[in-house]
Amino acid sequence: MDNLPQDARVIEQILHSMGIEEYDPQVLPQLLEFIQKYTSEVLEKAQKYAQHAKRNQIEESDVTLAITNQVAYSFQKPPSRKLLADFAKARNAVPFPQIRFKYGVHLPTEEYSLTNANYQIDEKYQEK
Amino acid sequence: MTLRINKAIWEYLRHNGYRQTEKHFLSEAQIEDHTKELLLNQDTDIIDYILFSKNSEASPETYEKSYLELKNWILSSLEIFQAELFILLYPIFVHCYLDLIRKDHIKEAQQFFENNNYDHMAFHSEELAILKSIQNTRHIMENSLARNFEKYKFNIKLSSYSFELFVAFLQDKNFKLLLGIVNQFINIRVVDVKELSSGRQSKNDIEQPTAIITGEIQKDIDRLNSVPVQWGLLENCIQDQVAEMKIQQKFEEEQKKLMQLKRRKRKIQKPTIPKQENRIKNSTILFPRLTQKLEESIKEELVQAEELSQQNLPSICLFTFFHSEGKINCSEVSAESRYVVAGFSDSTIRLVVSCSQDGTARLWSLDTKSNLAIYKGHNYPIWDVQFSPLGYHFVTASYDQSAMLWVTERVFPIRVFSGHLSDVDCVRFHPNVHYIATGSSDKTVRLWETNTANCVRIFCSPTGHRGGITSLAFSPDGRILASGSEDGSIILWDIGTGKIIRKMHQHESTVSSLDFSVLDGNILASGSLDNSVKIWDANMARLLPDSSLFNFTSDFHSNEKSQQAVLLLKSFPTKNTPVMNIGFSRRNILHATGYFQTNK
Repeated sequence: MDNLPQDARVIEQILHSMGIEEYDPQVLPQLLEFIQKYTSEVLEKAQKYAQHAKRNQIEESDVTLAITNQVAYSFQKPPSRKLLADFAKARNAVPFPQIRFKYGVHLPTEEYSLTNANYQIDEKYQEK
Repeated sequence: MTLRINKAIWEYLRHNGYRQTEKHFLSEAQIEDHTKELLLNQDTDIIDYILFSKNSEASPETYEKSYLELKNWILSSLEIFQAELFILLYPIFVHCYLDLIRKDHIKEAQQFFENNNYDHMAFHSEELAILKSIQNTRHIMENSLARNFEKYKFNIKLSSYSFELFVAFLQDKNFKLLLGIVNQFINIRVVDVKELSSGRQSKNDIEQPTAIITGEIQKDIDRLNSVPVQWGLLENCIQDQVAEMKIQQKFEEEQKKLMQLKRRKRKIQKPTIPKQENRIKNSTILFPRLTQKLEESIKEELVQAEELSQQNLPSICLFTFFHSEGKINCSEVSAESRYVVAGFSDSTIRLVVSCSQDGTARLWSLDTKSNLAIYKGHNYPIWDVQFSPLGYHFVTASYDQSAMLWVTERVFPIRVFSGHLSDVDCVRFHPNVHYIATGSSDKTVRLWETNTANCVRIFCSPTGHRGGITSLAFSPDGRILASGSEDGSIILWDIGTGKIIRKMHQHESTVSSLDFSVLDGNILASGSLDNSVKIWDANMARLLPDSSLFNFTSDFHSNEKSQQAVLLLKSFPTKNTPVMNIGFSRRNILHATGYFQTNK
């Protein structure tokens, strides 16, 4: 066992408690970095909330609020089942598009597909 | 109904000590002073109950005590009932644990978990691992699995005998706690059975049924599964034309032979193709016609396809990628066997349509070797994409629990299929393009109508898959859907009824890919991460044996292990190559691709 700093040892134990036995050794410093970034962002936000409430010390409620905001920002969940169902209902009510008579692959119109030229000729040089 | 509601309100007021309000309420609502009864309705369905008692009297020890008593009672009951009653134990375990955490008895909850989770390790190890990480009320709100447990009820089928026994037991010992949990979180459907089969199953049998959550009550699922589905092929489709061509060929050969032998000209009957049932008369989905040349070449190839059967096994060609372990994600061989394409972690691909973890699907041209269009609609990784058998439409399956239908012309989806409880891992078109099957990590497979995006079938069963669905395949005649999952089992579902025809459990690891042989669908091939490809006889599997129902709680028609072994025609192990993808080419040659796994 290497002489790991205490934080890294804590992460090792968390991984072990979740049942993860095998992992790349690089995972530990990556998780450490992530935890450091996340905690510092949350605490900074919490301090701003405490300041806004004209308090000197950070309270638990500030930290809770900071966490909820951070989670909503960085770890966005997929839409809830109900929201998805509503969206699906709206989208599924639209009838199928008509099929145009075309040769070859049916591509989206030029501006939506990637077949357009992605450059413009500068007007200065056009007339010459 | 109102009587029950009134009782519930009175109960609540009494518990929380609102004396005055209680008196007023009693006088106005005119409730007689019954001692409160907790009844489980003896009707065939238990409708939603209002939670009768919050049970603040329940101390943490009562949870464990009642659970243990229930377990002991079940274990000591007759074998016939044991199998069914044991199913009840898992939901009760889960909700006791969650309840304890909700009421902040963290230590007792952990102890309860430690002591009792071994009973359920066999079938629910992943869920148990997730539950173990839930340590306080906040976690319950954030964890999606816990939220699913709270929102949706477990569906359990019980015979009337077992049900009566269970209710009698609960009322005897006055387990208000367990009754409350059962009322709130379990949806019991009582079925009348003439006689129970002798319990041949042991608890450790793979086929033992277990409780599952599907997001709907069983009654609705059954009603849904009886909606008629037109699984027949399209009229005048390529398969029909090829079949005609083949018959014509054979007829001409026979005539030639007869001429050579110079026998008297016997009149040969030209055999006709048997009429298929359930054909789709008026196709509601329009698609552009294939070019003449393409159609001719496809038909030519299909006519020359080898007819596979039990005696005539396919030849397999395995394409191994070296030095790609961990980097290669998916691969496929084109139907004309000209291209092998692979998707790698460093985002390079050479596919025609590809899907990616960045949430977009892209259309590529193999001729100009360039990207033609990007399709954005999912904001989350897309796990699977497939073109329809006739081109023009394609479906994607994504982490956001939905599948979407696109046409190559529009950059936004034209249909959204939502309803799964967990991310959708694989998606397949039915041969007649009118239906789409999706398999998800919530262990169920759903069938959707392409036109309306309505869910027409939910393939789930207590004896069904134990892990997420990783692969799907339709039989060429459109009747059967095969699904393979992470637990190594393959199930053949009958699309018409929604029931299991066969369950095959011979793989030891995730079944990564399934395919039926072309045209006749006699052979089912499965590739798995346990380094093997297995060939199964799909024809024999279709014959429903007439032995009586083994156990009424199963949707099986038979599940003896010996019959399973007969289905497996051949197993082809590789030494170190987990198989990622298999497919039958148009000539019925089986292609497989895998990556070479270096030993650790």
